[in-house]
Amino acid sequence: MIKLSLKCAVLLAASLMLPQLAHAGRVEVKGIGAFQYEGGFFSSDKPTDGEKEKAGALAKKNAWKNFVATLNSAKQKSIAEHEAAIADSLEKFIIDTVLIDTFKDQNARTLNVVMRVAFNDEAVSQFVEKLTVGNGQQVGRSKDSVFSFLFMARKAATITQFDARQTKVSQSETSIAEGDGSGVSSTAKTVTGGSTQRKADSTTYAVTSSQDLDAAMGEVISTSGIEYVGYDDIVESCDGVPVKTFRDEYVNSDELSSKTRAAVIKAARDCEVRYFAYGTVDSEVSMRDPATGNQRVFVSVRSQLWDISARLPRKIGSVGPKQYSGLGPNESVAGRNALSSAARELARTLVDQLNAKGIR
Amino acid sequence: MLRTTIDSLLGAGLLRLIGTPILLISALLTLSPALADDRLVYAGFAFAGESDDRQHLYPISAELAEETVGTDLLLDMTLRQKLLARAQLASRVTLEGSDGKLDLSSLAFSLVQERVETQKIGNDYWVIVSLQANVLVFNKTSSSLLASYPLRMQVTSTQSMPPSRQQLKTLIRDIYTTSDPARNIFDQWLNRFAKITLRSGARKYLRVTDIAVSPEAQRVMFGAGKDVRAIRNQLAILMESAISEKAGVSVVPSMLGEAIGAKMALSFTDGSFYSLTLPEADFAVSFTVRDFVSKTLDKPSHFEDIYRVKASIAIKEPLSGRAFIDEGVYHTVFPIRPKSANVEFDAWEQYFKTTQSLIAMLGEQMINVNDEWLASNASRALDAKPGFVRAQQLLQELK
Repeated sequence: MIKLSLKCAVLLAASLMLPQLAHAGRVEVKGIGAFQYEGGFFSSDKPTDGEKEKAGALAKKNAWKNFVATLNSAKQKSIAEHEAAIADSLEKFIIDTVLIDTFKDQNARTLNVVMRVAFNDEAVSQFVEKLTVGNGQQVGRSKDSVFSFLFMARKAATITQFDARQTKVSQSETSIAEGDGSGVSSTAKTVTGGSTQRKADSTTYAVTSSQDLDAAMGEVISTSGIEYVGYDDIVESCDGVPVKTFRDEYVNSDELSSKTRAAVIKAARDCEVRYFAYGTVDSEVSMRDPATGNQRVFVSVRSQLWDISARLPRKIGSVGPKQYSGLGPNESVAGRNALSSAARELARTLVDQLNAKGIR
Repeated sequence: MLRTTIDSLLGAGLLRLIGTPILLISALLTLSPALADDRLVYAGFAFAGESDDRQHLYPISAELAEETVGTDLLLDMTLRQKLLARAQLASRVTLEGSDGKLDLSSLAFSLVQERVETQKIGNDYWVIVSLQANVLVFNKTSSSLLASYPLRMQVTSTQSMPPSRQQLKTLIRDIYTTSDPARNIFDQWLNRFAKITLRSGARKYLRVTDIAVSPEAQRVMFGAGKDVRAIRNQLAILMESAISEKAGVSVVPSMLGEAIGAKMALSFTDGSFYSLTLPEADFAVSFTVRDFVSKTLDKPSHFEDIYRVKASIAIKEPLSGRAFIDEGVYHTVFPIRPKSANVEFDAWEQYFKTTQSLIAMLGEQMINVNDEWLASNASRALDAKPGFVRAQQLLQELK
């Protein structure tokens, strides 16, 4: 009994401490607000509280604009579409503010306020999502907005780097002139030149398991409330092309053959999938990180998002190519870390692009 | 008071006698915010900077960090013992660690650079060892830097022969382990920590963001066979400590020598590593070396050399561009060489020393504006005073 109570006590204490752990989602951005005041008889050298407040509000607004500029284009578009509603709720997204500097420019008759504003990125995302796709009963979870994805995880097997090929050209010319009997003079001229040809690296890939990738992406997509179907279910239920049959296409090429792509999309459409994303996540060969001494693996992500409801699919979004990296004591751990962060970012961007279409 | 009572109850084992979980809840709830506000988690000895740069940033300290006494690492153990020996300071930290459970600020001794210079003066070799470190406060959970107070220590010794690697190692080991507090960097670090009052709320960040060198000054550096990048880094470190030590303010490490200035690599002797996100400068300090000039006056019994460094100092708020100070400054030294001694000075050494002195004096002027100094060291003489006063007010505000 006492054991149980102690456990409850620790849980209660831990849950009350949780807000202190909340770091994710805090984004600090600075803004400057310049409020023009009326000069003359009634204006003092020191800014009034009212002027400070107005300049401060402008600084927050500009910090918000700077914050929005850091977001991906899909989210920026959603925010722009609901600008007025978001502006009214701006205070909800502000965790805290720090007044950095306040000064009056007597010549321009402006009061300038520089402020650092901490925004709750997560709260902004939720609010934008709510405005874009609605919530509760309004959410568009109809059969014509089913989402699925197919990503191939590839790992660089060999990278061949070519030395620059140099071609040197040398041309010599000698002219001899005979004088008026006093002797012979000769002039030699050599012209040198050439070219240097560089050849791009040649990379071959090995297709690896997509389990980690699917799990990391699925986590983000599910958390954001988007319902999706796995490609394996499309294969089973709608005669889709099994991954193993076209895996080799990705070894030497970045694209599926048009025949395979058409078959994949047809099967997805038959399973009433409307939005389909596919692409590649490529892991490069690991290298030693100079900062930590650990191994670092870079991952490159490329994706396309298609609306496949019509006979001719329409591309409605794309991601990348974008680079991510992961660190670890060995190549395997570094690779997994890189893949995990790349997959999460990829999924977040796809979610934003789907939200921008009103899909949840 | 309540915390002290609960601490004593826990310490005395009375909790078991009381046998109720309610007290445990109260204890946990009371302890955690108090720790978050007042106490720092002791993190130990760390190296600031990239792993690959260890061999040129602090080669001997890196070797010493691996030395052990029994099962303990020498530097880490010495620092810990020195901290525990000062009860009042020890009470400001918790040595138990946070176990990743609480979002606490951590305290580290972070070594930034070790420098050894040997100068032959007469028949003696002067060995000058400088160590630059920070009292660093950071958050492990968010990998962010909260405050950094640089300190610099210089120890000079003379000997008849150029120092061997082993002698240098002994000299530097002594700086870490000596019982003489005036010569021990850990004692100096603790002295610095004792003076710091950490702000728990909003912070404004001061940072040296630029050390510029004019083409004229660069020519002098190239002529002396110096690496401009390394000198810029040196000057940034000097500027940070001059401002921080005099004004008692936190200065975000400049990391001018690093490839990515927004991050700071911090590796501990236990193998743990953090890539700390450095806050953006709210107030940016820049120092420009404009030129070095010199001339020699031939007097009956001696030569009088005149070495001058011309520079400028600015502190600006980057977003608005508002300058608190933006003034030209200079400093001149007049070393004398008796003709009978038949010696020559190394011009670069004199220029560098003059620049070091100027930076130290600028630090002093940031807290105590002196008209006499301005008259003889500011390009605009007393007209520069308002800028220095504004800088002083700003540093007071940041304290």
